[in-house]
Amino acid sequence: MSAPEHALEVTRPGPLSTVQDLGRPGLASMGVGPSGAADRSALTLANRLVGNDESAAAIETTSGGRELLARSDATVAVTGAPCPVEVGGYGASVNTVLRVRAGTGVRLGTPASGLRSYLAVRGGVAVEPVLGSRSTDALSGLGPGPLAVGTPVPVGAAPGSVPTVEVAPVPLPSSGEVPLRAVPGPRQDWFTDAALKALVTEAYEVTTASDRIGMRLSGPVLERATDRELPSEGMVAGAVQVPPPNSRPPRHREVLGDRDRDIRGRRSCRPVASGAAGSFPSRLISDSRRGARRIRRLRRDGPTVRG
Amino acid sequence: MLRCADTGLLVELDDLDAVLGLYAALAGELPAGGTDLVPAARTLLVKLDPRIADPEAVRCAVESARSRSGTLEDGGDLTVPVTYDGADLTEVARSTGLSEREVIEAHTGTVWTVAFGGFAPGFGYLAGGDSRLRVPRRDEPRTRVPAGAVGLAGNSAASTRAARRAGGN
Repeated sequence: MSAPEHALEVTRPGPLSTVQDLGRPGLASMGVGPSGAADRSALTLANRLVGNDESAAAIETTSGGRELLARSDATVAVTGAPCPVEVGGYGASVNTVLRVRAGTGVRLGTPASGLRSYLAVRGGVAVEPVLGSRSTDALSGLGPGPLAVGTPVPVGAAPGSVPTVEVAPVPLPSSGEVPLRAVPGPRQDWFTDAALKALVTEAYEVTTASDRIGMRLSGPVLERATDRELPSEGMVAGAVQVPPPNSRPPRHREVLGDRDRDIRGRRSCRPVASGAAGSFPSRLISDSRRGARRIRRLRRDGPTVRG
Repeated sequence: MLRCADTGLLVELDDLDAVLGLYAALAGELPAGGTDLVPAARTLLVKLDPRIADPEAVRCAVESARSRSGTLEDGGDLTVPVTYDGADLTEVARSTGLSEREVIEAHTGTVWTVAFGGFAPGFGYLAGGDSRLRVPRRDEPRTRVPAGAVGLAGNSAASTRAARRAGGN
């Protein structure tokens, strides 16, 4: 752990703030999921802005609403969902290098679009790694717990490299209906042609029952061609899991797997895996709290691939 | 072998022994672009980094590993003390046609093997055991299972170390 003078302190955690780096790949046979930042490109950009190695740990905030107090001078950058940023009460920008004086607060407001924002600090968040990563895994409980009021956030020693740009141009995340790329997955033959058609032509909504483990979707039911039960098997990020038709409770609906997902699906099978499996789906959000819903659509992209 | 977009190759195999043999053969040296192996009851998922992996090359590497299927080290015996007072014991007895005492005797009377870990750390999928204990999965999954719970489903059983979200058993 670093000395306290190189620390930030959480004064308001917002709905959910966790420490995330690039996760724990390669440990699935031990039951350890990959975890890591939901939006990898936002994490690596934040790290590059402050001169860190891309894999350094940062703070991932869901839906903003977070305040930190710098106990010593710090260099930070906020990326991901573009949220209002204040440093010491003055407005600041996302995707820029921000200098924060000791005793000054950094506030992240609620993003107008997108879901998760990242705050990287020069030197990286230096909590103790677990199995090679500092990430919080929401499913297994590995890594540090979600940040609470008063949590000190240790910061590592500044790296040798210095920030080289002041601002990074980043396109705004899409809002409204968002098309996702998809290709038929390994269990497409478990579904009727109508189900596959519905998946790529109908709109699905991201519901509020979504988290780092997965996004529960609402939309047309995907009809199965068989009532067999699929033994548990591995699945990739972005896979769509479909529960059995009679599953209870009814909230058990189609799930788009995210970073902290089960490494093996259960009671379900997956007709489609996202071709763009990566960080993009993690930016989607249920927008019902603002009276509007963001809807996403999966569309067919690329040929059927079967081995 | 089934493609999972550009991030995985799902290898279907005949049984658990074949899965573990292929896992042992591949675990020592992952094919180029491979990032992880996820063994399961009848499949092995080879996860891929789409920026590096050439799916055809990985497919060939898996084919050649199949022919030299390896063996996993025997980790030795472990005795797990179990208290049989769980919520589903009566239901397991009813569906197997055994008395609760016979369920306990069948469950403790044979050696189980940890076939693979997951879906959370410390959760062992167990194989072997007494064939009379085959029960279907619950219609309605349990949303939480206490630490140390032992579950049965189909021809596998599992033991959890940490309290967690659960569903399958």
